[in-house]
Amino acid sequence: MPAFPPDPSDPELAPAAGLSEHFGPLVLERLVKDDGRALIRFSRAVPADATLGDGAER
Amino acid sequence: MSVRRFNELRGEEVVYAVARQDRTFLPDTEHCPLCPTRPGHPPTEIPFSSYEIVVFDNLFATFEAPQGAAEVVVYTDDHEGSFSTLAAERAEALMWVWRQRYEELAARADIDYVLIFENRGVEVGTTLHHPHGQIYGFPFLPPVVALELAADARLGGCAACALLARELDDAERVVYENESVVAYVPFAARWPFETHVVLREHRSSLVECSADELKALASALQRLTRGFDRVFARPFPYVMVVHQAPTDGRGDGHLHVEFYPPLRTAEKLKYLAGCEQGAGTFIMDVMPEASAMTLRDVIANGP
Repeated sequence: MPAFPPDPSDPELAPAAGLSEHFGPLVLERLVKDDGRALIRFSRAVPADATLGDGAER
Repeated sequence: MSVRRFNELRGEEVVYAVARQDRTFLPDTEHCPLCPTRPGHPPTEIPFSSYEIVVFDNLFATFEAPQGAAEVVVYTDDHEGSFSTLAAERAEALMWVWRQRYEELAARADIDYVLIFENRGVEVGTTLHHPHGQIYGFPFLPPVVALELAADARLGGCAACALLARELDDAERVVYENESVVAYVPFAARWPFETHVVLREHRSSLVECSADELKALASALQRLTRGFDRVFARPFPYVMVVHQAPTDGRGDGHLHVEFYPPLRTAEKLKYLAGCEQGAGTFIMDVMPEASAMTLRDVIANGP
């Protein structure tokens, strides 16, 4: 089972600029909409030198 | 805010969420609320010009804090396609999103059960075509989950473990398996192509899964849903539900994903009619073994 919470020092999980949290291989960006509803944007934390697989995702 | 009433004759809660009567209904692509917000166009629910996966509180909520939660999970910023057509990396990421939402919602005192599901196709009531699912944080234990816990008690242990062992032993209804996951049409399926995708190991929830198991689960779900689309050479409607342990401490669970597809032929639907609704007994037109043979074939011969 992968470590939880993930180790933020893990270079494979290096945070993207301005994003706030990690979860497994994901980076989370939270915001509150104008009407008070919560929204979370999930992105894969991809190492800078990684290839992007089939490319269709990014 | 929705209202709950207890139906004494059925012994179950009924939820009245009357604001949902006005929810967005099958908008054209130009007015899809789940598409990215693009320059020069009206804002959608998602204030980004592109994204991978987004989760947000449902505007037309069945449950909301402090009595539960209702969230929308958008799989991609591409309006076209479906879960089955996502890139493998995206489907795997979705497993992690489900896991994160389960864990966060499970920590809330007002939520007794986390229901992750997808309604695919107008035949099962979807109102938005953009690929997405939903999550309900139930403020009570829903009856299907109570039935699963009763099955555990009746069988003297984890019912899902026992049924998986039986299906693997029979093998006749197994449609797909990989290193971590088995998919089968259950012995007493209630839908023409009902399929259960079950973790081999006893995992109470996504939180207990290894990264490899989550990847294997995503792969199995995609192989199955791609197979579904080949059964009748058309987009295959289904209800997909992730079954996990209750989050109120009342009993265990065994992570598995159930599919309830309503098509019995390319053009004919299985309806819940008099016998199903009035007596609670499902009448089926096809044996599970025949459905399994069809599914096994289309999965084996496709991507």
